[in-house]
Amino acid sequence: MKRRGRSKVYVRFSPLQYIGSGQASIIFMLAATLLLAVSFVRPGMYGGLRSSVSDALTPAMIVISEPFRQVAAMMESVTGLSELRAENTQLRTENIRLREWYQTALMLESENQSLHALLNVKPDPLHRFITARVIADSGNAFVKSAIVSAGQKDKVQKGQAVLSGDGLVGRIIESGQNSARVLLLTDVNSRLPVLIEGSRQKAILSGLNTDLPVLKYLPADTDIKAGTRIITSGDGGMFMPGLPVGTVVVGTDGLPYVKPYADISRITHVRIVDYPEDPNLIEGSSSLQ
Amino acid sequence: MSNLLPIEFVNWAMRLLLAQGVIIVFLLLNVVSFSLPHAGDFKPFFLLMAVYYWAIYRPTLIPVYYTFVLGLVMDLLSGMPPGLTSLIMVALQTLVQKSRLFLMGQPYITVWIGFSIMALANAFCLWFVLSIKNGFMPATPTLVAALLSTLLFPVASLILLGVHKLLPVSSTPMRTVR
Repeated sequence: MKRRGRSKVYVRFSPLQYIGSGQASIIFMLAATLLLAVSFVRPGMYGGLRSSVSDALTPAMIVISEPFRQVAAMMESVTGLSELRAENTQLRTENIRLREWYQTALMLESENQSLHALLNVKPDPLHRFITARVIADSGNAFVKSAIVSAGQKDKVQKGQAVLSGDGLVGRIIESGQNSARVLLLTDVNSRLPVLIEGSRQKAILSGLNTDLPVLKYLPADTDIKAGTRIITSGDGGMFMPGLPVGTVVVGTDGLPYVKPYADISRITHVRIVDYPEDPNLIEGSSSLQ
Repeated sequence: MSNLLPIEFVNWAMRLLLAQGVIIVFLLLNVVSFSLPHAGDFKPFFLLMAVYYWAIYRPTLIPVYYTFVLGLVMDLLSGMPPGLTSLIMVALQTLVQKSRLFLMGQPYITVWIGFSIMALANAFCLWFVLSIKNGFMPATPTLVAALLSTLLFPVASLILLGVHKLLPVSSTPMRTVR
């Protein structure tokens, strides 16, 4: 007897099918809460995982950020054209002024060298810069950090200082193979030992998640004037002393805020200072010996 | 097992991969540098847009465990406490999925208003949890981000609609048997 064409029934079994139900949401929300609780108690625990994830996604982030960078560069060149004339005049005057400074600097350098030789000063260890591109920011207003396109392969290490063209931007907090995370000066968790130029007073520069970090732990009688230069003190040994940070701005509440030299909200390229922790590891220049 | 011809299978897989690729691009847009001043502070919630859209129109494309992983990757990339975005995304996705039958029958404006509520909820949760962790923080930037997200949602939903049209009818590689 000829069989009639029955409707075929496929029985499929997919274990993941059951994870899509209502209970699954609760399970995953609980898991997320657990992860969150752990990150509250031990914030540094996920450092390695963070580096691996950003390492893995660095090529994709470079590709996606490229059009934005091109558009920004194009816009800058278009708006820059109109200001070219004024900029040219300004650069000419600045050039004349800098030439005078150059002569002074040469004179001071030779004087400095002879005095160093006279006093037999131990030279500072050599440092070098690693230039990298900013490929990602935090994407929210609560965390001020950035990911740069250089990592341990380029000798970028945790704790190194990060500068833009104008001044200090932050420091490396995690370093993967080919990417690293920078904690910006403005982040609420950033603390930086600084020196108030002129008074030789030390302080801690503390981020507030706003554009202006504040100077903390100053003696009550310290008199700080607006416009005073703030530089890194080098305390703690991680940062090179004397890196430019910013100038003091006295807020309406009377607190000494610091306006960073670097425009932290729009950094595109950074220089990472490779400063050896132990000065004996790298010998300084031998020209003085 | 698939009963598709090899070429049909490749076609099916490519279409699904395109949809997943767009989700990953939305996630990365949330973290990549836009080279604009303060872009990071006011960045719209791109990932939320994708999660919201697919939670209504194709919930099988982003199951809960996948949203969890996406949120976790975003937390790890953005430097936020891991688990925070996962928690918010999974909670919001579940809320939307529960009301998807209602939202699907509504005009676009209702879906848009629904998204603006989700964006505000996301902003509030982020602000609330991180204010507990780091002390009180101003909520204005994240509210601006929520507003920008709402304004950009129609553009994002147009892109996602384009992807939606290319999606295969079936989420398993099986030919429909008549």
